[in-house]
Amino acid sequence: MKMPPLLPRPSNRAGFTLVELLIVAVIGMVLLGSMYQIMVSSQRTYTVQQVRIQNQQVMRSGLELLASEIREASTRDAFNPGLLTLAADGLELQSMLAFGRVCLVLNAASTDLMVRLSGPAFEAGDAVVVFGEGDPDIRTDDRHYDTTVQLVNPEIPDGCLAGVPGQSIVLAGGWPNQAVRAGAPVRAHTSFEYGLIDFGGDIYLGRTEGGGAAQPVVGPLAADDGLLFEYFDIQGNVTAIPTQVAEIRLTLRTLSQLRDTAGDLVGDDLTTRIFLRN
Amino acid sequence: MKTTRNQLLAREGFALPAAILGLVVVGALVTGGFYVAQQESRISMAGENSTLALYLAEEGINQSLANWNNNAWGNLQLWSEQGTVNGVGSGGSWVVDITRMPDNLYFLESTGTITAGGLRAGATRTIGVTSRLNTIDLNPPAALTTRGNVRLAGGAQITGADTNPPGWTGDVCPPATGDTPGVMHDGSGSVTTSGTSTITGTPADSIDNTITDETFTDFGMMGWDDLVALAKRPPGPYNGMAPSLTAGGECNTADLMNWGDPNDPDGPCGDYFPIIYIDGDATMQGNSVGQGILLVDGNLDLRGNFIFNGIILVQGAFDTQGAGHRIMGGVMASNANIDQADLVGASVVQNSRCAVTRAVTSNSSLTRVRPLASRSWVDLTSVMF
Repeated sequence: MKMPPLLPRPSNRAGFTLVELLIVAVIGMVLLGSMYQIMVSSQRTYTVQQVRIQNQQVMRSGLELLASEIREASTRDAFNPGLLTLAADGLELQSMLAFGRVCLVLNAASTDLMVRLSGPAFEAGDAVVVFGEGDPDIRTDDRHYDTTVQLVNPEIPDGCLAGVPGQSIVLAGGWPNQAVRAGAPVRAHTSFEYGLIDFGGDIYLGRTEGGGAAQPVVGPLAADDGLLFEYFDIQGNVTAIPTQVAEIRLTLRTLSQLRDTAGDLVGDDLTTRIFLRN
Repeated sequence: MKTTRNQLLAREGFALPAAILGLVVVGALVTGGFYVAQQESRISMAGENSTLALYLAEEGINQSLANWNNNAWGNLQLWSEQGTVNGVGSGGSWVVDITRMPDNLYFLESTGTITAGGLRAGATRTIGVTSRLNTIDLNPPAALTTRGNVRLAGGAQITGADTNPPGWTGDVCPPATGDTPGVMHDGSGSVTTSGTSTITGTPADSIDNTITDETFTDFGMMGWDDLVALAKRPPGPYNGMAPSLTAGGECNTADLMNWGDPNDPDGPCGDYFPIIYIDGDATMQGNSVGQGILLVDGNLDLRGNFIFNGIILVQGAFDTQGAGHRIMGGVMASNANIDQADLVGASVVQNSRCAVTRAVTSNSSLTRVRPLASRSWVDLTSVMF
């Protein structure tokens, strides 16, 4: 009698040896490790690029805003300079709120005026600068006067002429009778001070209006040298006198806590040259 | 042994779902990255286009000021906002609306628009510039301004009533409302008439003690020498001055005897107002016509038919004889030697503010439109939007 085998007889199906499995495991780990490294590196590069783009966006926004304000500021008006305080890390200037042109002079003192608006209406209490023509045949007596709006009325459709709307305003005055004539530009303005401020632990470009609380504008910026103003006169020489400034070079600099692949902190800077128009 | 459908469905594993999940994650990351990059690109391009639009608007202002059209803009109705200039710049276009205001002030509102870039076009910026038309202060205060004695005889007439020259109608001249004295003098002599000669005006004659040599040489932003430097210098004799045309039918401004055409304001030489300088005394004996500003650095004696619209500045004495003279505008004769100004025959010297104004404003050398010295520029985009 033939005894049956104690163990089932091995089949002839193919299989992996232990060595084969180990080799596969090692190769797999190497491949996975490489992929992980690539993924981590890509992630870091992506993050760094993202921060760089964000930084550039911050700087562009800040430069555009400041350039618009600075372009408008007057330095040729010796009586009412538009640049109020110059500093390397800050600037105080007049910023325009409303603009119009006198179309009718309604009283002899030339303080009661009808104004053709370009944009928003004037409001009582606005600080304004108005052009004083004086004698139309003499250019040397032309100047701007700084005053305030005492009274305003709503804009009416035919205020200036039939079909030409206008807003009636009364100014505090401060000029000779009839010095302000039809055609004179009128601007309402406020003072803005730009500088670096601490906002939630980060450094931002901040704006302060008329001595009030500072408001963040764009950021974050580099703590020490995130904002730099340089002032030049018409000859290109550095100047600190507001009425002599013809050009301002403005630099914004960012510096994040993120490090790039070389181990350096990710930062960037942008500089623009702004020529004043007024 | 066959594999049944149920056996296939019953197979367990996670490779396929894992692969699909991986693809979805990678796809989402790529899409997100692409979207972010596109947004950043659009924001950057919007900023760039905004700045370019500002420069286009400034180009519009500069072009309008550089190519100022006195005739068109000077005749705009006050506050009408009807003057428009269009132009094309790099990557876009600009439109300037010109508003005429009193006292030679103009407001130029320029809008620059980006037109390049397909769907990304359309950025606009608007700026305004308040400008003033500065002109030479050459404005004769009377039909005849002089020193010493003035004598009218025969049928000579001096008229201070403002009158537009014959044929200068429609848009050429506004209604005449600027009456002046007939004769203004310094009081050093007398004004007399005889025969049928007349002097009329508001008043007929007037004394101004402030008339000095400078009255005849200083004209605000320019002086006598500046005018002489701009003048054409016909050699004489001064007979038969008449408008002439080039072969192409245009006004021949190179012709020294072409002094413009006062009789046909719409003709080829109708808007030609030359400055003419005569060095020394001048006698005009033939039939002649002209317009503009006539400078005589000596005595001027009109003896034949002479039709002239504009301003005549004489450093010596001014005399007329014979008939057919008609000066419309103003005559200023310094008469420094206090000779007598004799106007005899059928001469007419008539005040015309329109002729004076056109003689000055139609000559681009005598007018400069410039932004106000300070606070002329305004970024309207910042207050309008």
